[in-house]
Amino acid sequence: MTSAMKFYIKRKLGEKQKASYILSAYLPTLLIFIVLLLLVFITVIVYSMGLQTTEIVEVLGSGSILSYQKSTTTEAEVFEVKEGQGLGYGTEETLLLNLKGVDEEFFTPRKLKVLSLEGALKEGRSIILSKLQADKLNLKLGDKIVVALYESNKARVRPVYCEITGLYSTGYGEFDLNLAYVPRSLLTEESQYEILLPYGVDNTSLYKELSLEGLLVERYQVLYKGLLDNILLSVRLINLIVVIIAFAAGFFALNIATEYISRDKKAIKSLYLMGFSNREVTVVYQNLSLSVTMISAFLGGLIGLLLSFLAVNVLGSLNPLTFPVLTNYVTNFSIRIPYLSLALIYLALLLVSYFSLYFSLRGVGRGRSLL
Amino acid sequence: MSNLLQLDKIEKAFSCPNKTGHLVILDNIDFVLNKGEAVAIQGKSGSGKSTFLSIAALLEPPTVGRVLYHGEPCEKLSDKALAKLRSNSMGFVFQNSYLLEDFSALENVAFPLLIKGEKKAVAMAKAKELLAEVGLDERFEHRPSELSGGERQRVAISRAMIARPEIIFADEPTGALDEESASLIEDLLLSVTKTHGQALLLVTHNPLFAARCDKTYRLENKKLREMEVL
Repeated sequence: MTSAMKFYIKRKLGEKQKASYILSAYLPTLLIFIVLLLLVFITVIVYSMGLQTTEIVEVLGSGSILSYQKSTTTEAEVFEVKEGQGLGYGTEETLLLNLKGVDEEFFTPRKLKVLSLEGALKEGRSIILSKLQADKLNLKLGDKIVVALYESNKARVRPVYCEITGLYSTGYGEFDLNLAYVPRSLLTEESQYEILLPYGVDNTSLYKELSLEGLLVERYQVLYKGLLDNILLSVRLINLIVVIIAFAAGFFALNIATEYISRDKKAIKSLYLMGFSNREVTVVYQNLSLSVTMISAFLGGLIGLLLSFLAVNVLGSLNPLTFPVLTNYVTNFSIRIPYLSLALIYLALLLVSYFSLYFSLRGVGRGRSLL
Repeated sequence: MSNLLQLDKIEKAFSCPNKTGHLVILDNIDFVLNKGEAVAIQGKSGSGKSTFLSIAALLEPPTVGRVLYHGEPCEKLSDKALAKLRSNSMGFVFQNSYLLEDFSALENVAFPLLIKGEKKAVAMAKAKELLAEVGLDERFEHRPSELSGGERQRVAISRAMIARPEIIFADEPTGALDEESASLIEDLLLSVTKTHGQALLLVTHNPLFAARCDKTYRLENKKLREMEVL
């Protein structure tokens, strides 16, 4: 690019221009700014929420693989657990609890990170409730609660008087409303074995290995199929919508190019007369329009990203009891940026802008009509 | 004087909107512009003066005939070569100056040199010299919207001159000016082209302005006819 082209582009982008010029130059990109802001915000939130939901399901649901029999061969982290049900009696309310009987070793740093646990499980008659359950039952840490344990193998109900020694909060209402931890010794059901693989490690090969060993095992993706399929579908749908809207945003760029060209028609013709070639004029206006589009898109994306960080804090502070609709969503999660999806959005925008601009510039004539 | 620009048996016709035939604007025109010569083209509105000028300036091709620059035919020149030719050898002045509105007077004048690849500092220095020459040394940083019509035309003339082109094409350069400013611009255009040895191809309605050129032609009934200089 020649120095004349750079000089021209910089000035048109706002160098040494008044605020009113900059406003009029960038105003047509407002739509792109807003669209990208929303797209990035939604994509980041859905992606982060989806990942956190999957993590909660894997870590707190059943481990990466749930084995109904004990394996003697695997070197992976295995936790012996029991599952049962009970009715928790609060001061005014009762709540059906899905009880998980575990040992103290169950609460590894990875699990604690998801649980945000306050307090700990003790031997004997101890229970860990979620903050949501405690709120609902009007109880707090250190309070006592009567749990009517339903012993399915004995088909009877056994009341137990437990101390609330811990409160957790995953931010996922689905778990927080139901799941409570008690010492494994408190439950009479058969033991199960949760195998937790390190983050991001695929469980397929271990699943096959254990199945070949003759164990009855199942992966968390199958145990929570409905839920995880929904998440996957949501992420895919969002990605599809995002790409479609990014294409649409690209066509908005055509308006920007058209606006620039119709506004600068005389200037463009003067450039031809001063010695710019067709190619140089095209390159100048492509760069100009693409720069404005991408600056707006970048700013929109940046603000969308910042908003998503802000939204996480706001979501985390909302109580699913006050907003029941939130029960089905994880409200406490950290932002994880979907680089691939965002790259797709910007690539689609760039491509469509480039081509729409290329075709609109073909209509610009040379200097003849000035004469 | 050597032959700089030559139009050889030029014909220009446009298709009619209803496609029933062709509208012939210029018919079998021969024309020669010599180096350093000032030539005026006169004619009624719609007689084809501007079309003639745009063909001579290689902005549009003739339907029939050839345009030769320094004896070389130009019809097969590429877009890039034409752009280079315009940048190196041609300057343009219009009735409405068509300055770049987002640039100062100084930057407007310097721009053709930047296009030619000159360094910015050098281009600006030369532009200052030229603007001072046309009496605008107090107006360097003013944008076109802050200048009067006459001042704009002086900037336009400086811009046309800065790359030291061999030909200046001027289409009614005084058409939008009052009498006093018009007279100043006429003097300026004729004097600077003479001083720098540049040819001037001028389209004007003003017979007095035309009479100050070396030759005057009249476009009438699609033909170009040389008029006697009184």
